Amino acid sequence: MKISKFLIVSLCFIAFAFANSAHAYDATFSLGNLCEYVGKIQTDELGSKNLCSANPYLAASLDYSFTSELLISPEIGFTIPKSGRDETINEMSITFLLNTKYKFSAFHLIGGAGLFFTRLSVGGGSEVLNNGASTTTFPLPEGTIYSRNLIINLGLGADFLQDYSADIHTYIFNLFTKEERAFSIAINGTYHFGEF
Amino acid sequence: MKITFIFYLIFCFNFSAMAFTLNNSEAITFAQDEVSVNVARGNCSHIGMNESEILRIVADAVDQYWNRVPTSRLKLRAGSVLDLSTTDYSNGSICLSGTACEPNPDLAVSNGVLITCNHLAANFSSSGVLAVTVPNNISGKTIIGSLIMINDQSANPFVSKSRDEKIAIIAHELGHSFGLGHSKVTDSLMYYSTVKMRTSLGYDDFRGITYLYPKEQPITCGTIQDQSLGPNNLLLNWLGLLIGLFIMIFLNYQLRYLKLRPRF
Repeated sequence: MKISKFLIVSLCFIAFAFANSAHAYDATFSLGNLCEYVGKIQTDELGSKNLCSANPYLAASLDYSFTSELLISPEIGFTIPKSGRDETINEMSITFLLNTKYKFSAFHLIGGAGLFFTRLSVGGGSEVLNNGASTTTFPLPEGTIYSRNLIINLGLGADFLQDYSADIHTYIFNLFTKEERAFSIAINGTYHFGEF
Repeated sequence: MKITFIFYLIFCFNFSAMAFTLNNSEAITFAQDEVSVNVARGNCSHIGMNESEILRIVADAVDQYWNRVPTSRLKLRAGSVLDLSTTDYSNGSICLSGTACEPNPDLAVSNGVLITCNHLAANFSSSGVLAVTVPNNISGKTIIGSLIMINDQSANPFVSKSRDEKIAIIAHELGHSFGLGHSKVTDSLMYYSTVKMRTSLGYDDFRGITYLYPKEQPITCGTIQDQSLGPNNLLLNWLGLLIGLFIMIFLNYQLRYLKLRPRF
């Protein structure tokens, strides 16, 4: 525990030092698709697993540069709320990330961490479904819940032209718990508004 | 408050079935994040398995299905074989009456989930029914205990199922035990019937368990870690620290930018 406290204090000092050496920032806007929990969900009765489905994802970030190669990039993003197969259920995902970017040539490596919120909103009601040899009316819940996960983000980006780049992000859930571990992949095109 | 339970009679003869549903109108849940699944000793005569084998099926069912949801805090654990000979789980009635089941208080499960074999025909609406499940010990909106009865009549359909099918059947019943109802899509584990190949949870199952038991991973920046909680919680602390650092950097930079404090 002493080592942890030492590291925490050290990182706090480093953070302040970085903050004061940061000298420029770039605002970005990204549009892409978020493929959630790849390979984790069954999609038909033959046992097929999910890969990627349409799930539009919007994000905005500010890139602070410490050196010409190293940037820190807080980012907020969300998926467009969707109902999917049932209109009574509305789902969206929201991300708050702190990324670092290391630039080399026309590429940049991305590493970071943050929070991933899953919002589920259900409108109540009921459904008559098969149940044994007959049918039964099953209730649906009514209300909204948020699930909150801490995630690690690893990714790679490439610059195109002066103001555009393409990024691929891998959001890792529950890295150290084998059975709960999951991956979501965001593929984005990004517009850079430039240095302020 | 009186909560009406629906009597679960699953997996009938005909194969034909968008949202997840609940098994009651009050969205009742277990209060704790970790729930043990135990097996009653000495009640199984016709399903071709003993209690230890059922427990191994339970372990595979929770690992392959419910414990794999990254957005759910509920963790089911295979418990132990319990000697409960003072209660007639092998021949007792799971409900006192009717289709809207009023749980039999004599069979109330004191904690977690209990699986038992049962050969009372009245519990199973037809010989094709594999198992029935009822949360039968409730306090307010909290499930204290749930009971799963496997059809152990001499002509039961459970005995002829493959091991993978038995794992899926037990996983389905566990879904009922912690609050879920049926789904109308075939790719969901909570579909009322078996499908050709069941390998993992479907979208409805994911959403259902997430809705009832949403994960709430904390921001733990600056807190003291209880080392007995294991490495995953240590990771959460460090991720929390990173977020805290982000906030500090952002505020520091903005304050300097706005000339609200001198630069170091």
